[in-house]
Amino acid sequence: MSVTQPPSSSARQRDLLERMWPWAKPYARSFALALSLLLFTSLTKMLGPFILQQAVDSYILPGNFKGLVWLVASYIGLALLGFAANYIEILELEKTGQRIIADLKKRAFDHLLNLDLNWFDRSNTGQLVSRIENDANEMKVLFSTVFTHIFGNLLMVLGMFGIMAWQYDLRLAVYVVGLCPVILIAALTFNKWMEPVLINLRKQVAEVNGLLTEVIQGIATIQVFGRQQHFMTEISQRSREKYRMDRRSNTAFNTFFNLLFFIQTLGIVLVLWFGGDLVLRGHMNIGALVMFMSFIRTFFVPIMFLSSQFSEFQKGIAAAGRMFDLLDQQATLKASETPENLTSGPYTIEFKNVWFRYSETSDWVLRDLSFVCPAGEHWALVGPTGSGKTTIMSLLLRFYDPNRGQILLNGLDIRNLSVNELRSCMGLVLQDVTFFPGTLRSNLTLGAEIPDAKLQRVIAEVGLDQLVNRLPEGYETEISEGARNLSEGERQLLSFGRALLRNPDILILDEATSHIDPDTERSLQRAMSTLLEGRTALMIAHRLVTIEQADQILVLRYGELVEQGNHRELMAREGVYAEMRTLQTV
Amino acid sequence: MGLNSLNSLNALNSTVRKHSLLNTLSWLWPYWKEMPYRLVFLIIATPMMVGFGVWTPQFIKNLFDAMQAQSLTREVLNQNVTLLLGIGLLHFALHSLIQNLRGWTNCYFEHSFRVRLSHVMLRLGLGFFQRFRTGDITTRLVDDISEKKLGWFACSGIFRLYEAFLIIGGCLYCMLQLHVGLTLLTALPMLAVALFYVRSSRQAQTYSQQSQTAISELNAYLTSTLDGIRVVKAYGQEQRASKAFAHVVENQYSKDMALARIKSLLELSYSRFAEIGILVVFLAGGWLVIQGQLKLGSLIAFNNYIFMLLWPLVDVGQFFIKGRQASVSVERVRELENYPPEITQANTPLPWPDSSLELSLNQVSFAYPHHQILNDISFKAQAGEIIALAGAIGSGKSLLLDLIPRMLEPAQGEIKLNGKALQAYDLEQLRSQIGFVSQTPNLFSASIRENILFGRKGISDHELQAAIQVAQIEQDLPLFSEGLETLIGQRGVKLSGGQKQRIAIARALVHKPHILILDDCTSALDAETEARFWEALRQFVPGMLVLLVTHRVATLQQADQIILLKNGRVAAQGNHQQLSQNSLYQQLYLQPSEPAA
Repeated sequence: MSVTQPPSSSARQRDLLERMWPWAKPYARSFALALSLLLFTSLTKMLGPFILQQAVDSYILPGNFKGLVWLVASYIGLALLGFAANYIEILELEKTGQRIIADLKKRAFDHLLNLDLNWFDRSNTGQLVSRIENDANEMKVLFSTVFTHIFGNLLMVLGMFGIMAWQYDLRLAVYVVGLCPVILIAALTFNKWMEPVLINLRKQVAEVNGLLTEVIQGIATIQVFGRQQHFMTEISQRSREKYRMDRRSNTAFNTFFNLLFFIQTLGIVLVLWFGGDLVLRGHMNIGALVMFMSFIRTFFVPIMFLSSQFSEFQKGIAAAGRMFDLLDQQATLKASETPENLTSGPYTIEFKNVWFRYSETSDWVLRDLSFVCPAGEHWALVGPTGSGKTTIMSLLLRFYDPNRGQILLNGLDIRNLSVNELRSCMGLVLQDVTFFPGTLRSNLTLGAEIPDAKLQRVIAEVGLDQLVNRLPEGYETEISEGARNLSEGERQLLSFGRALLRNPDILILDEATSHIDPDTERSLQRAMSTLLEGRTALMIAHRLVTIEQADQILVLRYGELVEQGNHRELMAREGVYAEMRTLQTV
Repeated sequence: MGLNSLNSLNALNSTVRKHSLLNTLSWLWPYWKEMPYRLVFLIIATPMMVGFGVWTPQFIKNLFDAMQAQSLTREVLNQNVTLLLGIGLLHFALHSLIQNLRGWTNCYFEHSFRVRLSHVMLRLGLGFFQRFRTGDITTRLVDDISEKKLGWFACSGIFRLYEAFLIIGGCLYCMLQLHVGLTLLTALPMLAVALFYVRSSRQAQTYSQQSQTAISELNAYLTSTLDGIRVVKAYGQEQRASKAFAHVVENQYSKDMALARIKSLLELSYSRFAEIGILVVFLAGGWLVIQGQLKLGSLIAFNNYIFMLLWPLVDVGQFFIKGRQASVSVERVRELENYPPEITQANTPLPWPDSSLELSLNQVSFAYPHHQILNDISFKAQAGEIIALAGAIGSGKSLLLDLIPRMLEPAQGEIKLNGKALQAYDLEQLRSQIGFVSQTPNLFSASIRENILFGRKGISDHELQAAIQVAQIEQDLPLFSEGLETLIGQRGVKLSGGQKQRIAIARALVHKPHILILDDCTSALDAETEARFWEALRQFVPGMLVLLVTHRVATLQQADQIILLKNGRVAAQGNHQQLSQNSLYQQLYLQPSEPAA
C-alpha cells in the first residue's frame, strides 16, 4: 500500500486543518448559523441553575407562589426556544458534515479511477474501500460536532464560572471549576492509554473478520481435505485474542466513566461541605447552594461529552491524514495535452524497441522488443510464464508506458493519443473475468445503448443463447457475488460477448479460453474467424492448438522475441515453438 | 436444498417470531449455566449497589431540612457529608466491580458464541454456502453476536434491566415516603417520556438499518469496481463508474440524514424534557413548601431522585429495543445452527480399508434446482488406475468429482468403496485420504509452506520436497524473497494463476493420498511446465486411484479409462484407443490437431 502515514505532529495537524478549510468554506454560512444558535442554546442552559436559586431564595422560602409561577413559566418558554435552536443547530451541522463527506467520497473515488494501474498493483482493495468509506465517515466529526461543541461547551463552563464567582462565592466557584482540570487530565491520560488498545482491538476485529472470510470462501477446500478441526483451533485462538483485548478496553472504559461519576459525587460533597459551612455562618443563601449543586450536574454533561469526543477527534485527524494522502497521489502517466486524432480502423500495431520494467528495482520484463502487426491480421503470443506476454497487452492498452521505445498505432505514438479514444477501439478478454453488481445485460453492455437485436446476435455468436434462455429472467438476471451462478466457462464466454459488443477494431485475448472445453472453443473459434474479420487481434494462449490459424506467432522468452512466423514455418524450423508444441501432444 | 427443509426453516422462523424474547432467553440459558457463580453474584450484588445509590439523597435532604429549620450545626454537617462520601465510595467500588463483570461477561459470551457457531458452520454442506453470501455469514459470526449486540444483551441487557427495576422501585419507594402527590406528578410524565423514547427508538432503528444497507451497497460497489479496475479502464468506464458511485453516495446521504433527524431529536428531547420536568416539580413542590406541606430538603431530594430515574427508564426502553435486535440476531444465528445437514456422518463408522481400494459408482444421479444434472452414472475404478472424465462444458464432470469426497450426495444410486457404501466410512477420514485440486484453487493467507501442509501434522520435510518437485514449484521458489516461508494472499505476495494451481497441487499430493482428484488443474500452466508435471505425477502416483478432468489429449492417452460425459450421462467409456472411434470424442478432442505422436 503506497498510502502511508508519516508521523503525525502538531505541524502536520495544522497542515491538515488548513487543507480541510477549502472543503468547509462553501458552508461558512451554515457554520455561522449553527454557531449563533449554539450561543443562544448555551445561554438558556446556563440560566437553569440560576433560576433554581431564584426560585428557592426569592419565591419558595419567602412564600411568593405567584412570582414562582411567573419565573418558572417564563423559563420554560425560554428553554423550549433553546430546545428548538439546539435542534436546528445540530441538524444544520449534521447536514453540512454529511454533505462535505459525500463530496469527499466522490472526489476520492474519481481521483482513484484516474490513478495508474501501477499504483493499483501496489494497493489492496480492502484498504482502499476502507479509505473511502470509513475514513471519510470518521472525518465527519471534524466538520460537524467537534469545533462548535468545544467552543460552545467552553463558553458555557466559563459563563457558569462567571455567574458563580461574581454573584456568589469565588472560593466555592474555584472548587467547582477546579474539578474541570482534574477531569480533563484524567480524560487525556485515559485517551492516551486507550489509543494503543483501540488500535489493537481494531486489528483483532479485522483479523477475526479476515480469517472467517477466508474460511468461508475456502470452505470447499477445507472440507474436501477434512481440515475443519485445524481451522476451528485457529478461529478459537483468534477469537480468544480478541476477547482479551475486548476485556481490557471494557475495563478501561468502565473504570474511567465510573471515576467521572465519582468525581461528580465528590463535587457535591465538596459543595455541601464548604457551602454548608458558609450557610452556617450566614455567608450564603440556601438557594445558592442548590444552584451550585445543580451547576455540577449541568457541567458534567459537556465535560463527559468532550472527553468522549477526544478520541473521535484524534481518529478524525488521522483519517483526514490518510484521505489527503490518497488525494495527493498523482497519476504518472501523462495525458497528451494536444491529442492527435486517431484515424478509423483497422489499425497496424507497431512495437519499436520497447523496454519495460514494473519498477526501478525489478528486472526488465521486455527487452528491446520490436514487431509490426499489420492491420487486420491476427497474431498470437506464446512463451512460458513470465515471458512478458500479458505486459505487451497492458502496454498496448496504455496501462503503463514503456521505459524506452515506442508503441505506434497506424504510425501514431499512443502517448500522443487521448487515452479514452485509444481504449475505446479495443476489446479485452481476460482469463479472470470481472463482473459488476447488476444485471446480465448491464454487465454485457457496460452502460452503452445497444439494441436488443444486436445483443442477441452477438450472444448467439459466442454460443451463450442457451444460457440466457435458461436463466430465470434472461438478460435481466442479477449476477450474484463473483458470478457464482455461472460456470467458469460461461463467464469467459460472457467476457467475449462483452468485448465483441463494442465492435472493437483491436481485439485482445489473454488466456481467454483456458476454462472452455476444446469443442466449445472450436465452435467459438469458428464464430471468431467471422467476428475477427477486418479487426486486428493479439492473443495469448497456453494451449497451442488454439493458435494454429494465427497469421503470425511471436515466441517470447524472458521478454525477448526468440522466434516469429506462422505455425507451419515455426514447426518446420524445429526450434522452441516446435518443441513446445510437441510437448503438448505427447 | 430440498423443499422439505425449506418448509421446516420457515416453520422455525414463525415460531421464533411468536415468542422472540422467551426464545432468546432460552437460547442464552446454556451459556449462563456454565458460569453459575457469576450469575449468583450479579443477582445478589446488584440490589446492594442500588441500595447505596438510592440512599444518598437522604443525607442531602437532612442537610437542607436542617438549613431550612435553621438548626444546622457543624456536627450535623460533618456527619452527613462524611456519610455521603462514605456511601458514595462504596457505591463507586461496587458499581465498578459489577459493571466490569458485566462487560467481561459480554465479551466472553461473544467469544463462546463465535466458537460454537464456527464449529457448526465448518461442518455445514456446500448448499448453505451457495445460499448465503460470504459477507452475510461473516456478519453473523462477527457482528450479530458481538459484545455490542447479542453479547451485550446476554449479560448487560438483562442485568441492566434488573438494576433499572431495582432503582425505579427504590426511588419510587423513597419518593412516596416524601410526598405521594408529588411522586405521582413526577412519575407520570417520566413514564410518558420513556414511552416516547421507546417509540422513536424503534423508528430510529429502522432508519439505522437502512443506513447500514446503504453502507453495504457502497462497499460492494467499491470492491467490485476497484477489483476490476483493469476492465473499468480498458473499457473507458471511468465516467460511468463515477456517476454510479455518486448515485450510491447520495443515497447513503439521504439515509444518514433521515437517521440523524430522528436520533438528535431523541437525544435532545430526553435531556431537555428532564430539565423542564424538574422545573415543573419545583413549581408544584414550591407550592407545597409554601403551604408548609413539604420541607425544602425533600424537594431537593426529589430533584435528585428524578435525575436518578432518568437512566433506568432509558435502560428499560433499551432492553426492549435491544431485545428485539437480539432476537433478530438469535434468529439469524439459529438459521445457521438449524440448517439441515446435507452430509450426515455415520454413527459407527467403518475403519478405513487396509486392502487396495476399489471405487464403484452404481447408477448415480444428481440434480440441482436449475441445471447440471448427472444421470445414471456407473463405473468402477481401482487403486493404481487413472480415470479421466471428458466432455463439453456443463456435461457434469466437476459435479461428479464432488461426489467422491461427499461434498455432494447423490440423489439416487450408490457410490461404494471396497463394497461398502461411502456413507459408512468416517467422513473426516474419507476426506483426509483424498487429495483434491479444484478448477480455481483456493489458497489461504499464510506462508507457502503452511498452505501446502494445510495444518496436517506428521509430514516430513522429505515428503514436502517430493510434493514440491512433482507440482513444479521448485522453479518459482527463487522468485519468492523468503522461499517456502513467503507469505501469500491478502498480506503477502500476489501469485499468478499458474503459481496458485501448482501450490494447490502440492497441497493435494503432500500427504500421499489414496485417492487423487484433479479437476482441470493445469489450465494456467504453460506447455512445458504442464508436460513436466504430468510426467512427474505419473511416477509419483503408483498405487493411488486417480480421477481427473483434462482437456489435454496427451493426458487422456495415459488414462486407463476415459468416461465420456454428455449432458450428465455416460456417452462412452474406454481407453483413448477405443474411444478414438467415437464421434463425440473425435469431435471434442481429435479434430484440428493431428493425431498424437
